[in-house]
Amino acid sequence: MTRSDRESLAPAPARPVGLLVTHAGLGTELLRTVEGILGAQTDAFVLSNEGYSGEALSRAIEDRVREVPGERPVVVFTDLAAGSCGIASRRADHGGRVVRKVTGVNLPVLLEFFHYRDTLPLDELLPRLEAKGKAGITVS
Amino acid sequence: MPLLLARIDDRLIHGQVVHGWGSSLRPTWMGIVSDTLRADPARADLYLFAAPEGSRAVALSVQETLSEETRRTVEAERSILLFPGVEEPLRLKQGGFPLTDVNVGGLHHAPGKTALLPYVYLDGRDRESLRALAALGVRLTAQDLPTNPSHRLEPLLEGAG
Repeated sequence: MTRSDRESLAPAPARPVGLLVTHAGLGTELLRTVEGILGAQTDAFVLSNEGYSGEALSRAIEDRVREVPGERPVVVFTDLAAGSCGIASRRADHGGRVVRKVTGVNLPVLLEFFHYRDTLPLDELLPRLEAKGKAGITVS
Repeated sequence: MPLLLARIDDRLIHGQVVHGWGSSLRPTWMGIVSDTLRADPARADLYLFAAPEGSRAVALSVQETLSEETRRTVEAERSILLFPGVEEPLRLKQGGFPLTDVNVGGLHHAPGKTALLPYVYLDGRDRESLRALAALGVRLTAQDLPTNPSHRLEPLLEGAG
């Protein structure tokens, strides 16, 4: 068996879907900026908190996740951990699905996610997101 | 110290409350008045976690809020009371709590509710409860953020629904 045969037999990791849940138009602009840097992205969705109560926002997150085929993990990115988006994402109930949450989203986090989501397993990718997001903030 | 803010907001503790109001009012105590949340500690924790630095937050039933102990706390601290809907402040006022002003800061769209303001959607029952609060002498304003205009609600409720 050649190396390429082994690679072709290895199960491809299910590509995680990114769902940005943010205040106002922040998520849309973040995604637009990511696409300006990395090119057009599929498997990426945006949900604004505008017009939603906390309860309704949680239900909307659940609905969006439900639309993703069941074998695909979902990473929910929110801006303020202590804001309506962060709270609603923690409240949302996805049953047994793999849905991970990342708060404090910024551009370095998203670039890392979209750059490596096809090559790194989720358990390796998520700590990288946290590290990149923090490292992206410097004060001088 | 009188109560700094009594606010109806279906998002309870969130960005507008923590950063918008919190930075100017600098609360040291926040009470979420909700029988439903009080009975569901896991859900309540999601909101209590979001309390701003320097402030402690608790979930209380309406009955607990009416207690002498809570009223002493409200007086002793820089306090904010948050309500998920209109019924809770009405029950508090009817129970003798000295509410004088209520800010309607966020009641979002839901089936059967119509817009009074972009961040205030009401159904007939909400309107009745707000009118009842006003009739008990509570001054009602709608204001999402301290830097945005404040609207007196009583005239907007007249003849509506």
